[in-house]
Amino acid sequence: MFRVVSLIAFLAVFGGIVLHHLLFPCGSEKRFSIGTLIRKKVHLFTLLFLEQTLNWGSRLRKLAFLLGLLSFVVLLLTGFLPPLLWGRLEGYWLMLHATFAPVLIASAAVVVITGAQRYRFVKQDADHLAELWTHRKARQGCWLTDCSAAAKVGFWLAAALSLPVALTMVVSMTPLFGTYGQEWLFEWHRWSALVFALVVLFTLYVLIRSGIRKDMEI
Amino acid sequence: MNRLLMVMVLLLPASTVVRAQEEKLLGDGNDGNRSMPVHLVELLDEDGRRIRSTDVAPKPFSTQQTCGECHDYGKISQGWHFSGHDPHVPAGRPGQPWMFSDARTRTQLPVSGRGWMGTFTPEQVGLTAWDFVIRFGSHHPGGSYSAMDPTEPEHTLRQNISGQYEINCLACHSADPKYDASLAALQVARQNYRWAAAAASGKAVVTGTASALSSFFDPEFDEGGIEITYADGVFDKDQMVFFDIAGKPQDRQCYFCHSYQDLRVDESLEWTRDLDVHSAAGIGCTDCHRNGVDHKLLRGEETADGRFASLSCKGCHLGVADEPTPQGGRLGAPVPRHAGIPQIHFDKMNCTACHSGTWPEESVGRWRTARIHKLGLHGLHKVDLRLPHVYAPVLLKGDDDKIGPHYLVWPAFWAILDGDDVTPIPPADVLATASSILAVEVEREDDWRPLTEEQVADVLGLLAAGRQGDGTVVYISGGKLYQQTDTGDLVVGDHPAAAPYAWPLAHDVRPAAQSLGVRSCADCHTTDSPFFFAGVEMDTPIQGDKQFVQMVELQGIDRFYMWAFNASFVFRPMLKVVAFAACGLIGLVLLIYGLKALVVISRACAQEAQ
Repeated sequence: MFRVVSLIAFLAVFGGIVLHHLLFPCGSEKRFSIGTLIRKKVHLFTLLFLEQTLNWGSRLRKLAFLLGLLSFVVLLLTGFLPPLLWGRLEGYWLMLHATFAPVLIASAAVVVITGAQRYRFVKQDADHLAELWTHRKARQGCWLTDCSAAAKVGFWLAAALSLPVALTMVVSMTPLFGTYGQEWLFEWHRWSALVFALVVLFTLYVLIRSGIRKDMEI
Repeated sequence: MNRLLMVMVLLLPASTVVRAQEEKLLGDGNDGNRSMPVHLVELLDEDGRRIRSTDVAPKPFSTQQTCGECHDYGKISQGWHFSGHDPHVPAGRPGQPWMFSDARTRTQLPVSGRGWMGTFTPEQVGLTAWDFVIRFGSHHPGGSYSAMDPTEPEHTLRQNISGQYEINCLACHSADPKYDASLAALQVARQNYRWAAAAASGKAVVTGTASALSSFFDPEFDEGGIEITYADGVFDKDQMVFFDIAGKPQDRQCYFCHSYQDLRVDESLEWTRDLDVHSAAGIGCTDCHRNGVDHKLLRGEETADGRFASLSCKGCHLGVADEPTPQGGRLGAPVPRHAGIPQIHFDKMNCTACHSGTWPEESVGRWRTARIHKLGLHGLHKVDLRLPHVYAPVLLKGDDDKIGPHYLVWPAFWAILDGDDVTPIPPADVLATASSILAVEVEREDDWRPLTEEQVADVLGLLAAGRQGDGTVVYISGGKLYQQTDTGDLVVGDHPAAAPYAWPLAHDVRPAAQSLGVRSCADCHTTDSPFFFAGVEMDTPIQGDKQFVQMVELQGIDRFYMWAFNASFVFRPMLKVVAFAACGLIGLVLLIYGLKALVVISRACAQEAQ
C-alpha cells in the first residue's frame, strides 16, 4: 500500500513539476537551445552559493539550509529507494538514514528559527490568497507558484510536518511505547515522511523558480 | 428381486471396508467429556493373544496390540516421533539430529532420515535400521527404525530373538511413577526390544539379555532365554490390568529425551538453575506442543495454518493478525509491551533470540543433550559422554531467516569428495583401513583423541590407496576440508559440507526481566556484544591453537557493518537530545507565530465587525 501510494505520489509531484515548468517558463528567452540549457544549469548551481550581500544571520540560515538540503536528499534516497525497490530499509542504507536524520532536523530547526520572521504572512500574501479565491490570474507566471505566499505555505507546512517525522522515530527509541505503539509510530513516520518529502519538493521548486525570476529581474 | 439381492450381497463387503476405514477406534474420538477414561485393559501379546496371570510362560505385552485395540496405531506411527525414517513424511524445519560419534575415527556426524540440509541418512554412514536402534535406541520411543524389518540375514536372526521395539506409548503417556525410562533404555541396550515397554512399565520384571544369546537361539523352544514375570496384583479378578495414563504427557516423560545440560554450570550447582518460565508457571510441555490422533506435535512455529498459529510464542502472547476473533493471551499468557524495542527486531529475530537459552557470554559454552549424550541413564549402564561437542546458545539465522538461539555441532568425518558432492566413508570402513593410525591406544578419555596433521595425511593416504573409483578422499573437521595433493602435501580449505549443523534452541525460556534488551540497547548493540561477537569454537580433534569464529559471521552478517552499526549507538543519546531539542525549538516557533497569526486574524475580524 505504502509502496504504491508513495510511487504514485512521487511520480505525480515530479511529473507535475516538469509539466508546470513547461507550461509556465521562468524566462522569455528561447528555452531549448543548448546555450540556454547550459546557462540554466549553471544558474541553478549558483543558487547554492552564498551571496556576498548576505549578513551573518542570513549566511547561517543559508548554510543550515544547504546542509539540510543535502541531508534531505540523502534521507529521501535512503528512506524511499529501498522500500520502493526491494521492500525494506536496512543495512548501510539504514545507517546512512539514521546518520543524516539528526542533521536534517537540526538544520531544519536553524532554518525555521532564522527564517520564521522572513516567511511570516503579510497583507500582500493575504491579498494574493484572496486572488486565488476569486480565481483572478497573477500578472506574470503561474498564480499558484509565482508569488511569495506559495513558498511561505511550503515553509510552514514543512516546519509543521518535520515534527511528526522526527518525533515518531525519536520517541520509538525511548521506552514510552510498546510493540503495537512501535508499529503505530513506524507507520506514522513513513506516511508523515512521505507528505513532508512532497511538501519540501514543492517548496524547493517554488524557491528555485523565485530565485531564478529574481535574478532575471536584476 | 434375486438380482437386487445379489447386488446387495456383492456390495456388502465393500461397504464394510469403507465403514471400517472411516470408523474411529474407541480411543480416537472425543465425545466432549473432559474426564480421563480409566485404562483398565486386557493385555495382548504381539500376536494378539490375551495375557493372563495364570500363564505358565507369560509373554510381554505388545503396545501395538494392547493400545492399538482402541487407538489408531497406524495413524500414530505417522507422528513426528515415529516417522523419522520415512522420506514421504514432510521433513519440517531442521531439528535435533542423531549424532554418530566415534572417538577412534574422530567422527561426529549428524544423522537423520528426514533429509535436513547438513545431515546424513543412516544408510549414508553405513548404519542399517538394526544398527540405528543399537546406537540410538536408549532415547528412542520405539517405532520408526526400531520397527523396520532387517535387511541383513544376521539381523533377521537377531530380530527373531529380540522382537521389534514397537512404539512405546508408555514412554510418553505413562503417569505411573513406577515407569522407568532408564530401564527401557537398559532393555534396548540388551536388545530385549520386545520386552522394553513391559519392563519399563513397572508391571513386570524381565530377566535375560537377548544380545548375549546365540543367533540360533529359538525363543519358542530353547530354555534360558528372556523371561518376564508380571508383578503380583497387576491383574484383577477379571484378568484386566490398570494403566495410569496421561492423555497429555507429563513433563517428566518429555524431559527424559528432551533435557539439556550447560557444562559451564558445575554439576553440584545444577540445583541453582531455574526451570523454563512456563514450567515454573505450571504450564506443561504439551500445553503448547499439542497434537491430534496423528501425533504431529506442534513445534511452536508461526505456522501458516491459522488454526494452530496461536500456539506459537507470538500467537499465544500477541495474538494472530487478521483473525476474526482475538487469539492472544491463551493460557493466561501476558501480552508483552516490548517498550522501546523498534519493530525491526521482530522482523529480524525470533522471540527466542532474546528470551531463550542462557544469556550470551563472551564465548559460547558446551552443552549436552539427553538424546545425544544419553543423559538420564541410571545404574550400570550410566554413561558420562563428552563427545560429541555441542555448542549453545549460538545465535544464528534459522530456517525462517530470523535470528534465534541454536545448538551447533561441527561435523567431523572422512569422506569422498567428487565434484562438489561429499559422501561420508562409513567409520567402520575407515577403522578397518587405517586402524594402525587411528586405533592407537591413548589414555582412555571420553573426548577427542588428538590427531596431528601428519596423521590426517597418513590416513588419507591409506584410504586413497585402498579404494577405487572417482573422487578424492578428504577429512572434514572444524569447518575445514583437508585433502592431499599429488605430492602428498596436506591442503586445508573451505567447503559447504564442513559448515556446522545447527538446530533451534527454544527452551528454557527466561523470565521477561532476564530477556535481552531489558536493560538497554547496549545488551546487544555494543562493539563487543556477545550477541554478535561471541566466539564459537571451531571444534576439531586436530592439534593446534583453538580456532574461533564470531557469531556475526555465522549469522551471515557483514562483520564491519555490524561493528559500525553497534558503534553508532554511542551517538544514540546525542541523537535523541538533538532531535528533541530541535523539535522543541521548531514547535516553539510554530506556537509563537501561530499565536501571532491568531492575534492578527482576530484583530482583522474585529475591525471588519466594527
